[in-house]
Amino acid sequence: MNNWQNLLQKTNNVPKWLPILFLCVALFGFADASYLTITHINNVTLPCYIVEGCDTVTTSKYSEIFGIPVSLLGTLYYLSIIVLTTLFLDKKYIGAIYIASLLTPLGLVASAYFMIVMFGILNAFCIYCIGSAISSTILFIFGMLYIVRIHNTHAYEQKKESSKEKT
Amino acid sequence: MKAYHRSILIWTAIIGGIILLLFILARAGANQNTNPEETNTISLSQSVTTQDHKKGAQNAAFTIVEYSDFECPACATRTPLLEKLLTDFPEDVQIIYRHFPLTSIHKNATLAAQATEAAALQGKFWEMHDVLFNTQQTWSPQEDPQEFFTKLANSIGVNTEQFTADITSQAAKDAVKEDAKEAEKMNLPGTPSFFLNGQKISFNSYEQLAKLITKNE
Repeated sequence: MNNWQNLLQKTNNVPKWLPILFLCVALFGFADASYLTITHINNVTLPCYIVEGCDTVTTSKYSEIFGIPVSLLGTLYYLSIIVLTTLFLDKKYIGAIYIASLLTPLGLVASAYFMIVMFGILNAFCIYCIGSAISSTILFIFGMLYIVRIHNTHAYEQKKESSKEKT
Repeated sequence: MKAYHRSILIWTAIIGGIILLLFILARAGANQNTNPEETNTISLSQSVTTQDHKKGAQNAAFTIVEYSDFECPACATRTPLLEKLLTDFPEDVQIIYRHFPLTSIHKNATLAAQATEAAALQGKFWEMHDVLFNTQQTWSPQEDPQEFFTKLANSIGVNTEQFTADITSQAAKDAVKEDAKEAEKMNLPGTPSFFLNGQKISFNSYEQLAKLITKNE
């Protein structure tokens, strides 16, 4: 992507399954993060189950950043992926799916940090947080694959054009 | 289909889906385990004995047995609700505390339970119970909280020498183990688990708890 105008170009050169996959995974992550946010806001402390420690994680000091529940940040992250993917499905703007893909490392880094907190510091296991980590990892893998693909296509087209000019 | 109609369809489906999803999650989040009818399939296996730690009315119409873990945050949030219930229904309610330390996720829970048993030998079970829940976030991450527990015991007027000897005694260990064994026998999924007159109940707010009492009065 050389300039912002390119982002508004329409494309059919995106595999049909990619936005559908993005949408489904982001909806799952959104539901997961929203549930944690709702229970946090309602002050519902998740019961302590024998084999997991959601309670330890969701009530820890790491569950908030500057007073904002981290699950709310997760909800906003997944919502932005949903909006961008829907925009792509509707208008076929290449930039929508491109920006959504560029956002995915944010989700991965946040999830990696929370995995370290969970297993390294709190020594607790929270199924909802792991659900979110899986969603963000899937989004990251396919987001990066798409970015690589689009850059390869762009490089190929440029090469083709320059060879045409030479001839 | 015109592009305009297609756009409306896509955005309506997504926005409608998100609103519906949030509505369902909001209901689920607010009512988590609050319907006693849904959870009362487990009955209390061990009725109240003289060994139990109890407070409230002697011949109460309503006996609440709590299986709890001192390191469990959800258990700490329920304690003030039970206190308020005892204040509001002083003639009708009795609370029984039983140990169910979830050792797989709470490494200090067993020692905390033993600390209350040691304090109980000096007649200070409930005082120790309260200070442990109030300071949960301080001792929960500690590697070895025994020294901290001794300080807590001292603060509530427990003889610390005796307490130090009792906290790791076989009697304290057995008392905790016996309760936990009973909880495991009933297949309790976690803590806190409450029984009202022998039937399992759940609640998240004082209103829900008080309703269970007034409904049966």
